[in-house]
Amino acid sequence: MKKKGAFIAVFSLLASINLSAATLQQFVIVNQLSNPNATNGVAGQTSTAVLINFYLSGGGAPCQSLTLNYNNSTTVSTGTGFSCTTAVTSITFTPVASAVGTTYAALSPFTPTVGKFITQISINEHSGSGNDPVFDTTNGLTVTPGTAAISTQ
Amino acid sequence: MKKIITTILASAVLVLTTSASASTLQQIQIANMLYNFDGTAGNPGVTASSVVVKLYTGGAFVTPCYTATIPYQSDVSITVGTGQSCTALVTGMSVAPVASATAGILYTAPSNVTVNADYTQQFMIEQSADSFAQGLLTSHGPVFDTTNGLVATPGTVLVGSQHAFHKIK
Repeated sequence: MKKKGAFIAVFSLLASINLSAATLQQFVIVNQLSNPNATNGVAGQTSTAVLINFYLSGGGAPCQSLTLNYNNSTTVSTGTGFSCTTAVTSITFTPVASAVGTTYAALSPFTPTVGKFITQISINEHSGSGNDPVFDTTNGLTVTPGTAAISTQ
Repeated sequence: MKKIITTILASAVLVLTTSASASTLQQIQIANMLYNFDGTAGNPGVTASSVVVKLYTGGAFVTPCYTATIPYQSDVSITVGTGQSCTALVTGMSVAPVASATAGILYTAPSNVTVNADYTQQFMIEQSADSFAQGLLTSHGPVFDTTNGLVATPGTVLVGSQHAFHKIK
C-alpha cells in the first residue's frame, strides 16, 4: 500500500515536470453536433462527425488534424514533443458529410486566446430557430444543411 | 488434332444438353430494382434497398431451399433440380427488404409470392406503382422525417413476374 502511494507520488511529479517544461496549450474538445429539435428528440442522421485542423501562425498546412465523432471528446496538447510544437493560432471545424449529404455547413475558423493554457470547446448545433438541417421527404437526403456553432470557455 | 478437339467439344455439349434436360425443373431469374423512383429529381438518395430472397418447395413457407441477398440493381439466376440447392419444384418465394443502417426500415415486406411450375420465370422487385385517387398522385415510396432524416413511413413493394416458357410436358 505504501509502495503504491510512493509510485503515484513519483508519477505525479514526473507528469507535472513534463507538463510545465513542454506544454504550451491544451484544447479539450467535445462534439455534440446533432439536431436537438428533431422529432421526439431522436437525432437520426443528424449526429455528425467533425474534422478539426490546428494551424500555427503564418498559415500553411495544419500541424494536427483529427476527426472527432459525435458524442466523443479529445484533448490536444501543443508544445515541445507534440504535433504542434509552437502555439496554435487558428482551429477550423468542418462537419463530415454522410450518406445523406452535408448535414451541417462548415464553421468559421476559431482563434484561441493567446496565453490561455486550457481552452474547452464544445461543438453544437447553433441555438435558435432555423438552424436545423432539413431532409427531403422523398429520398432522405439533406435539402438544407444546418448551422453549427462552437462555444468556448 | 483439330478433329480430336472438335470431337471432345461436341461430346461436352452433348453431355451438358443431356444433363440439363434430365435434371433441370425450373430456371428462376430475380432482379432487384427497389428504390423510390418518385424521389426528388429522380434521385433515389438512401432509398435504394437490398432484399433478402428465399425460395421454398412443397407449398409451405417454412424452410427455404435457397436464400440470397440481392443488392439494388443486381440480379440472380437460380436453377432448380437435381444437383442444385433446390432439388424439388420451387413453389413459393419470400422477399424481405433490408433495413438501412442509418435511416431505418425503408420498405415493408410484400406478401409471399407463389411460384408456378413454368420452366423459366422472371421476377422483378420494385416499388409499387404510383396510384391516382380523386385526381391526386400517390407515391408508394418511403417518407422521411424532415427533422432527422429517418424513415417516417416505409414504402410498399411490388413483385412483378413473367413466364417466358411454359411447363415441360
